Order: sequence, then structure tokens, then C-alpha cells
Amino acid sequence: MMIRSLWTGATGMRAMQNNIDSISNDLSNVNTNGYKKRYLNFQDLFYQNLRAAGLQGGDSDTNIPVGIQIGNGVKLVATTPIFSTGSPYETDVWSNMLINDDTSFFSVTLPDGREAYTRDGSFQVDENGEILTSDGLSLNPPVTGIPTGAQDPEVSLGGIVSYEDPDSGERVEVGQVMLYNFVNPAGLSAYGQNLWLETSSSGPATQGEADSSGYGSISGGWVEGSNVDAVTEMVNMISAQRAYEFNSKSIQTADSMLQTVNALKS
Amino acid sequence: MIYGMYLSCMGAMVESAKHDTTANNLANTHTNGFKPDFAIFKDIPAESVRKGLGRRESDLILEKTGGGVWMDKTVSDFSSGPLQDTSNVWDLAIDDSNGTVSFFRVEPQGEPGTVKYSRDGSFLINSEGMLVNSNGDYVLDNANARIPVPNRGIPTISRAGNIVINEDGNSTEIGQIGLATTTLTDAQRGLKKLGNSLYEADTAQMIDTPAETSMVSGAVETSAVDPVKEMVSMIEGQRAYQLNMKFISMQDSSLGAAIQRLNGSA
Repeated sequence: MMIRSLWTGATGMRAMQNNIDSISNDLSNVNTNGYKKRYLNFQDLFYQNLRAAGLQGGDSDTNIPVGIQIGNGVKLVATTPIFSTGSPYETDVWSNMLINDDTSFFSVTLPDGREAYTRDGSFQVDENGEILTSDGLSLNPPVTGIPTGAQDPEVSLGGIVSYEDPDSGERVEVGQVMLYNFVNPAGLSAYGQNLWLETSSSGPATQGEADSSGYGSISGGWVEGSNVDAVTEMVNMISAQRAYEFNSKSIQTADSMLQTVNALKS
Repeated sequence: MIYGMYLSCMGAMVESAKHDTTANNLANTHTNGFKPDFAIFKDIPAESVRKGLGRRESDLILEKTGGGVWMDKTVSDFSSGPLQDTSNVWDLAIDDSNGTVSFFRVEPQGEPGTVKYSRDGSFLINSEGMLVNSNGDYVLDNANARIPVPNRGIPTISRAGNIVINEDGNSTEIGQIGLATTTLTDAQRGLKKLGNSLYEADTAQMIDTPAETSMVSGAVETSAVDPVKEMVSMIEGQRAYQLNMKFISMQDSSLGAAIQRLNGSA
């Protein structure tokens, strides 16, 4: 019987350890472009019914109105990414892009050919005139053909990349940055490198033009920062650490009760 | 053997079971919508009373000592937990400060047609476009039907649970998040904990929620466990346990002394 509370305390300590791990990861990404903080969802574990309510009692003919249920602790069920927009900051690099909504994504092609999705719009132009991520990944569909020394290049609200022709003074369009959204963005799988992968829980990516219904507009020259709020994370850390301590106390108490039992027999 | 040793043993065993519930409460200090459990003991009448034999005149002293203590029931304290602001529109907290106890209606994954009840209001949209909780269980409306949410516009949720999608200046109501209130007023309110933040109840005893009960969007109801109360109860329980153990060893040593004396005179 004592063993149960030892393990119950252990589930609590493990859950709070996971909580601290996640908070640490959030805090270490406080300056990561497009990073989304996680919210940890805990649930109580199953219950042992030592005496079931609603059954006929042994001592009387009436139904037992309230039974005996003893819980077995806690478990982590989900680390839900919170897709609120991170704090935007201006970079004055024309090829940097910020999406003005919470849940539209850029798409990039991984070296193995898979599509990944990102909110990090810190794009650069390489020597071939292609727009790439900081890791050198191409956009999907790719945007290429920006000539060297292009005059006054810009990204429109709708994602159209253009520059000014030096001779005619007219704007030349080279391509369009497309956006993607998901039925359940929280179901995306984090890949690292600020990228997300589609899963069966997220649903398939749906392509759309920026600044159309369901998709945000794009601001060139801006980047979305992290949505981690250091103050909130600090408070979460304090609360998780204390909960860790409470659970260690319930293990210690169970242990000292066992010690008392051991002391019975000299 | 000495009768009292068994009574002391029962005392220690119920304290141990009580510690199990305390450990479970402390493990769930970060579980949304969790309600703490309390172990209630009952005294047990002497054996002859239980068996209906009446008092035996020969054993008057023994008859008056009673039959010890045992677990009677575990009851939950259904008071509201503190609300935590999350700014996520799909996080909902039930505000039932009017003394009633209300729950979200939930259909567990893989159990179509069943209705369980939950206080955990941390919801999201799954890949089928249905409103679910963090465990993937469907959130139901007042007619116990799943709630489809279109992937467009900006959602808002009224205090009555009406989901309104605001798009291009138009507002469309797409459904209502259901609540159910228990009619019972006894300690456990006819609810059985299932784990996974779910409760089971007789559906006949769960009625539509009175209009004054409302829900708050953008906040979750955190665990209602009060660590101070739990720590005090743990200290108290540990001492009661030690006291019972002390009584066992006292009775053991008086038994030992008796054997010694009888042995010496022989």
C-alpha cells in the first residue's frame, strides 16, 4: 500500500521535470526567430476503486453513495505549441519577411526533398539571385532570378517579389512567395532549425496567396521574433520547481513511514 | 494475541491510504481542472455488534473498545481552481461561482456515443476540423454532438459558449460549447474519476447548465490543489501513522514483559 504513494510522487516529479525541460527550451529560444512557446497539458492517471460507488454495501441494503477512489499520479499528455505571433522587429533587409497573422507558414524544401514549414522569415538572396533561408533551403515554390544589384527590390503584401528596371523605371516581377496553413497547426511536428513538418494530426498543408482569406499579408524588411515571454516562463519555472519539491516531500513521507514500520522489529 | 495491536495496525493502514490520496493531489498540482480528493475514515463497531450478536456480558471492556477504523470514502472538493490567463481563444474556464458544479461534455476518443465530463478546458482543432481537448477527445455541444470549426476567420467565444467566426466584417455563429451540471448535492455529486481529467456520471443526473453559469475564453482553470493544506495533512498523517506504530511496539513490549514474568516464575 505504501508503495503506491512512492510511485505517485515519482510521476509528479517526472512530470515536473518534463515541465522544467520544456520551460528551459522556451527560455533558450527567447531570441529564436519564429519560435513558438509550448504549453504542457497534464492529466491525472487512472484511479484504483477500492470500493465502487453505486454498488450495494456489505453492511446495509442501500447503495454506496460515494466510493473509495485513490489516484495514481499524473502524466504529460501534450506539449501544445502556442501559435501567437512573436514580437516583430525591423531589419531593413528587404528579403526578410514577416507574416501578419498567427497560423500561416512559409514552405521550404529540405535537402531530402520533403517540404517543411516555418514562421522564420529571415530570408537572404544568394549569388544566383534565389531567395533562401539562413540554412540555405529554397522556398517552395522557389523564387529565383533577382539580378545582382537589383534596384529597389521589395516584397509586396501579397508576397510578390519585384525590382525596378533601371532603364524603363517599371517594376519587374520575379516570383511570388506562397503561404500555407493547416487545420490543426498544433499538430505539426517540430523538426528543429525553426522548421515544422506536416503530420496526420496537423492535416495537409493548404497553399494560398498571402493577403487572401485565411492567409496573412507579408511585410518585407521585418522578421517575427520569438513569442516566449521571459517573465511568464520565470513564474512557470518557480511554480514547477515548487511542485517538484512537494512531490519529493510525499516520497520522503512515504519513505519515513516505511522506516517507522521497519523500526517496529528490533 | 492482544486485540489492540490489530486496531493500531488498522489505524496505520488508513493513514497510509490517506497519504496515497495526498500524494496524488500533490502530483496533480499542474493538471488543469483537477479537483483534490480527501480520504474520509469511519469507526468500526465491535465485532459482535457487526455480526448482530449483541453485547456479550463476559467481554464488556472489549465490547466498548470498538473495532478500530477503516476507509469510508474519498470525496473531491469541487471548488474552482485559480484561472490562468493564456490569451488563447480555445482555452476555456468554467465560471460556476453560484454553487453549482458544471462540466464540459466530452466524447472520449474511440468511444463514439459515450459522454464523459471534464473541467479541463484546454481545447484545439484536430485535423478533421473538430474541436478536441489535449487528449484528442471530442468536445460536445449541448445536444452531445461534436463541434466542427471552419478553418477561416477569427473565432471568438461568448460567455454562454457560442462560437462566432468573424470574417471580412461578418460574424457567423457556428455552434455552442456544451456544459452539463450535476443535480446531486452529496459530497461526490454522483461523479466518478476516470483519470485523463475525465469524470463519469449517470447522464440522467446531468442536466443543462443554468444560464448564470458561464465560461471564460482565453483562460484555463488550473488545479484546485492547495499545497499548504496537503503538506499539513501529510505531516498530520505521518505523525498519526507513527503514533499507531508506537502503540504496536508498546503493546508488543508489554506482551514481552508478560511472557518474561511468566517464564521467570515457572
